[in-house]
Amino acid sequence: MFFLLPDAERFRRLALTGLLLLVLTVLALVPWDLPDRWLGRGTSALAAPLAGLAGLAVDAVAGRPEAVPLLVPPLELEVLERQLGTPEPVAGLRWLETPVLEADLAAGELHLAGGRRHGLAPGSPVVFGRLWLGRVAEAGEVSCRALLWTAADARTGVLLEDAEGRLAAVCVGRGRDAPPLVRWVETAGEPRPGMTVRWRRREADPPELASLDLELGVLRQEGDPRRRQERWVVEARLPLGAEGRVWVGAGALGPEPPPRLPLRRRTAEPLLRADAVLGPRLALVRSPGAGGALATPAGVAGPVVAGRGELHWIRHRAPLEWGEEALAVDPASGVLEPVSALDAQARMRAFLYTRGTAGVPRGLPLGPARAGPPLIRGPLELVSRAPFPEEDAR
Amino acid sequence: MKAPRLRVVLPVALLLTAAAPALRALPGGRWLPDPWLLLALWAVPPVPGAGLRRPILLIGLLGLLRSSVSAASPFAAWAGLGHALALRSWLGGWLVEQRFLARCLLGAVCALPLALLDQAAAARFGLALAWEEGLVRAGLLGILWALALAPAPLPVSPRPRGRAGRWADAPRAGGGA
Repeated sequence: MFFLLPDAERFRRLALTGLLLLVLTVLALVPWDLPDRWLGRGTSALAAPLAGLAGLAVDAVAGRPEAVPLLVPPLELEVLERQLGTPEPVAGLRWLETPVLEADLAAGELHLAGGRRHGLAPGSPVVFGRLWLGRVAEAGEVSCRALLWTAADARTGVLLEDAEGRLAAVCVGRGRDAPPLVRWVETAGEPRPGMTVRWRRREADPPELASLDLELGVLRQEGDPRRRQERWVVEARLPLGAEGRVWVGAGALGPEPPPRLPLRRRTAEPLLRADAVLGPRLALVRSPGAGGALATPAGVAGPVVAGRGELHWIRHRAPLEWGEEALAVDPASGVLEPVSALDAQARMRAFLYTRGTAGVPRGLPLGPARAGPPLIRGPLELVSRAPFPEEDAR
Repeated sequence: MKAPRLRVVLPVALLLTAAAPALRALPGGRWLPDPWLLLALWAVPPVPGAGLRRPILLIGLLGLLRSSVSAASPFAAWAGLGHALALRSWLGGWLVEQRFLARCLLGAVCALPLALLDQAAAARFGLALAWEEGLVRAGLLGILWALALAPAPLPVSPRPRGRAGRWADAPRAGGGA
């Protein structure tokens, strides 16, 4: 292209080509979906028949998938969360089950799908079962923000308890990366490792709330006491169920209870079971929906990783390959745990659900942990969470 | 080398696009070279002084076809194919394309930008595309390109008209029956 031209013309072409290639490379490398989606909207009419034709070729070479049995989950994740998280009733307070829109653990915040309209107000206690989580910090009309007790600089009055006695203290959160510190311990005694850290009520809280004995964690000592560098910290972890729903104490009920998170389900048609460049772990479906995950009769096949108009690329995964984006439930004991905590025996009986990350709704059944990737066959649906009012304003 | 006509390139491109996912899904298909890149190198020969219109049109078309059967972005396809043609144009002036090894090396180097962009796309989708996959694809493309697009032999210079030549060709003076 660049031979035997006058110098000025040659340099002009060189500069033009270089600039064009630079722009294209930047657009290819920057993880910005908008140009791809915008372009895909215009070209999906051409791409769909071609992808359908390629899909027929793949089926002819690799064989059509067999009929799959219907997956029946042992229980709904929502039901299990309700079993684990419903606190005991307290006189003068009504527990409102409130779904979590987003758990921002780095900031120590939960965004909840309930607000002033539902009776939630700043200062309302937020709990999960017998665990204290924090208080509502800010309440909008239909959503609110709860500050966890582990958030940086959040202060919570606590009681350190064991068989030998009880000491009052204050707990100071240090964010996700460090355990909360216990400070200003009552001088009546010495704290001991292993003491249970319980929530201590404020004067404005209903006295009956203290009768619940809400827990925060277990006391542990850090640092070297010989150098007088010891400090007391609380070993605690946000329960997995609390990423899905929490219970907020309300003194007065609103006109309606907090809503369930709405799901958007759109039918999908399989087009292609393999990607021509990146291999058979990506599949293409056509659906008027957008984002989310592809649900098949045998479980969720995978999340949508790229969308161009009506065409959606799915990353096809086995249940265990969801990793930290999945939750494991032992149907026998009803224990909810992360996939990374499963041992070989637990994997044999665990059933997995989506955790609710990266646009995939929480609680969709993935299938038994030992199962392979579900076949993309039968009635398919693209499932995503419908936008919630006030969510975009955050 | 003469450029193939568009009415030949287009059906071949469509056919390759329809067959590419099936080929990739075959056992060992992940090592196969990128068919659109091979097609681009074939359809846009390095003609000295040729305009940019045909390469841009073909790269645009091949990129769109590639992205219709792949989750990788069309921008990655356009950038990868464009870099390949630019590299071939630039390196072609330095390497003697008559040699098989040089052609092979040139083809492999041309395939590297697209392999790198595919790696980036795979990482974005959370897929583990091994580095050796990209390298093998590039290497195979180099070999295929070197085999399929062997250039015509260089023109042979006329025989020097020295004394020996004259003696050999010319009838001997005074010779004959």
